[in-house]
Amino acid sequence: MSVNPNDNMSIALGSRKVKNRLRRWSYRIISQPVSIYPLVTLRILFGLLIMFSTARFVALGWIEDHYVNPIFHFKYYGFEWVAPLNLEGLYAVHFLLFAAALAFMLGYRYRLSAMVLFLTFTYTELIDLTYYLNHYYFVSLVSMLFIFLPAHRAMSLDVSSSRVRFCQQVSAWTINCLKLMVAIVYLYAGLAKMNETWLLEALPLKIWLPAHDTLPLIGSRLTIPATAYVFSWLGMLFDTTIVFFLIHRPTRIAAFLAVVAFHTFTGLLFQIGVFPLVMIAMVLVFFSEDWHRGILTSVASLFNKKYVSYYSSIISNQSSNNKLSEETDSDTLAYQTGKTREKVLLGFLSVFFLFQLLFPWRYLLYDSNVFWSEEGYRFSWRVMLMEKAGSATFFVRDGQTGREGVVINSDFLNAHQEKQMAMQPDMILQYAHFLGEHFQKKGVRNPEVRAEVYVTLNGKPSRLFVDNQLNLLTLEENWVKRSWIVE
Amino acid sequence: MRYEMRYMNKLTLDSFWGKNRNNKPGAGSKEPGTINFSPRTQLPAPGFNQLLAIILLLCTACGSGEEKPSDTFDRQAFLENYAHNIIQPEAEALLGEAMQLQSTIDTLVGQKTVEHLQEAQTQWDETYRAWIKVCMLNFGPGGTEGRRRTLLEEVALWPIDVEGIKEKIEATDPSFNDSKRNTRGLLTVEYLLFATDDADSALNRLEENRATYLQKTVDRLVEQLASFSQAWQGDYAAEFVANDGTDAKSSTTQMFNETVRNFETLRDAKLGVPMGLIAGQSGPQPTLAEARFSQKSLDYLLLNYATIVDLWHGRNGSGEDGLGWNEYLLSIEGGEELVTTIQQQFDEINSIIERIPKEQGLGELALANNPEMAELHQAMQQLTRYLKGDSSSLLSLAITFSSGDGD
Repeated sequence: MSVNPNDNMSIALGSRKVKNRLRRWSYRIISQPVSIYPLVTLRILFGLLIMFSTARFVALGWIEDHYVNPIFHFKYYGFEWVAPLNLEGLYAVHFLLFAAALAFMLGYRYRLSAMVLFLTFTYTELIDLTYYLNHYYFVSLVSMLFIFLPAHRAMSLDVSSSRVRFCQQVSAWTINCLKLMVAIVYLYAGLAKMNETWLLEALPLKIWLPAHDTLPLIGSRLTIPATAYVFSWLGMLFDTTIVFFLIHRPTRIAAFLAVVAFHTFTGLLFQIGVFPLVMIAMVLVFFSEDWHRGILTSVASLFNKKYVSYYSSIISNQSSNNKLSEETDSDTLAYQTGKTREKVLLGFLSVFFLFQLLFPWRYLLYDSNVFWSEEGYRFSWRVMLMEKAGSATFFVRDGQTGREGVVINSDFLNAHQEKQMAMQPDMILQYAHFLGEHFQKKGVRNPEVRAEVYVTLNGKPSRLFVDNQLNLLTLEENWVKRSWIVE
Repeated sequence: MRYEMRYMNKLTLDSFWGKNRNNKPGAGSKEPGTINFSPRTQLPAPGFNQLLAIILLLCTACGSGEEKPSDTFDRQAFLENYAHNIIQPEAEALLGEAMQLQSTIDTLVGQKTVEHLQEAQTQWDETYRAWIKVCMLNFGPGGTEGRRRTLLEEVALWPIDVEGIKEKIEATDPSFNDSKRNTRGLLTVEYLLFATDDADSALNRLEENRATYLQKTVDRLVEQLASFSQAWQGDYAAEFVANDGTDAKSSTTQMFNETVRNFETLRDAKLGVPMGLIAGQSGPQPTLAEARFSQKSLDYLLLNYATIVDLWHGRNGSGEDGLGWNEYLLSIEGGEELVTTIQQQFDEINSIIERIPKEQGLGELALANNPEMAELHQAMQQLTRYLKGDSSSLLSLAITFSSGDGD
């Protein structure tokens, strides 16, 4: 066995090639200077949508309905300490959220406003698990990402008041992390649709679509079973592939039109609030620098010509001052954090995205049907994926007298809370514990709480959901497999 | 525009800009024979073209093939049946009975005889039976609006506040502007007409202030029921039929939710509470029964149930069966099985009702811990499962406006 020195050489050459390629790749993904304008567009649209969504929330009276009127709130695991403020406090929080979104949009004290936006929005979401929506989770995550992004370095009040220096360019990672976030949402939503029920039985669309037979033009077609199949497959293909079509330049415009069509359609069909608008706005991150700069310039010139000329002058000053060397040019015009700071930030983002990529797969660790038991269901971009409903009757038994009574759910829960609770095991458990405590205070001694819950999944006849003889007070909420769910 | 041009020029001059442009995919690698499209004129890739074509096809021409819509359900006809054949006649009947009650009470107040009292009591019973036929219509003209609460709260809230009524009688204050809705309405009229077993003492108690309060209460009732009935006879019926979607604010959804809510009220407040079957109760509480003074709570309870069954079938007062919830379910895949299950549960409940010793009042049955009544409560619990869970799911009706998740 003689070793040919040339082999070693070629391996060394090969690994250097790989290294070089990796280095170039990481340069393109992370440190390459790119235009700031996509960030600016997204900052403005995101802030605007949060303002709209907050105003809508308040106007619909949901502060009262969701947070103030209910006697009991369902908690997120690990966030049991989050409690609703009183009515005035909640109005103040929503006002603060609105103001933060406005400041965020205008780029006024940007980091602070982004942080306040993230914290107030997330706080309101954490008050009650009932109102969990994937898109609220998405908004929380994006607003957190924005805290670390220099989206205020152009076309912002912070720049015009010289609080921060104008930057024409930013490192590529600042834009790529938003792209990645959007990509994860679509891709995982698509992967979640790759299941037998969705693709082979066209459920739940077969149930949902016929209910919309009054829609103009297409209404009558929604009652045809074939339509449900076509929509199921199209939905799956759309979610899994759209990001690639958005990245690929020649297909971008068409892909965007498809995004608009898709979200407009689902927005018409389902009660999903501002979500279609949020997604339509967010996919703009895939558009080119030219496009963003063009659109921002023309929009800005509509509002204030001076504003644009002001910017042009900054740019011209900065570029003429720095024409001497390309190095200083990049330093002045490109946003750069300190090297260590950037490293820490990138480390944090890597962990964040690793979590985002892995967490949705946790359901594989449970030996159960994720749609039925919902172990690992939330925070996984399973959107509009099943038709599930239940009815839950709770019985409180006096451990001393043996007398058992039925609970009137509407005494403690609003309709929305009851509906969500009746099909989600962790909420059933939380409610049982609440009832135990409540009736103990009311004089029931050694209370035992059991529940008779029947759940229907995708239109199938309802079945018993949890062991109806079990005293639920003997169980604690945790991440261990729930053996008390009737499979 | 001028500013924009200037801005663009400056940027183009920028050395950085040039460097970056070369980094953009495709921009710098122009090969002979290839055409570089500007972004706005670029064509979609072939694969995507097909996808788009399918979407477009779907939006415009889908269903033009041979396949016909399976069993489309005519929701407008369904709503028309409820509006014209059931609700309109029942609302009118209730108003008629209430006006009749008003006149018998006027007669009674004018001439306090045992005969007139009995007439008024009989008419009250008729009115209450008519009321039960509409007590689930707590939407539209029966929904909350401004200071107006639901029809049920305005017309027949119980348990009534006996002390509150007495205070108002003493204060001669029939202004009805406060929020104490349990000091007025049909059940307050019941209290004033029936609150003692002895007709003579009932008459003796009907002194001037009390008589005035009774008259004012029934006057107000007639007023409220007239505006409710007029709304249904007028524009609201058309609005109800036209609002034929399935979203949270559609007529179908509202009617469904209110019918189920009424069923739950029947199950818990009318049956469960007096029987002492509710958590936290230590025994029967017959004083919390609906309409306890006239001692016909059980009758009314069973009538309420029968009304819900009729509504489910889309049957009107004269027994004509129109398009109802069961026909709606039958038009949906998987609905047939559910309709059979629900019918079986109706039968089960009916067989229990047959076994109830109806010669006893609800109060007696409660105090005796009657097992059939407990069984009835359980069977109704089962029916809730099929109505609130299975049916609403299969019909794809929203429970609340804010439900749903994004896609």
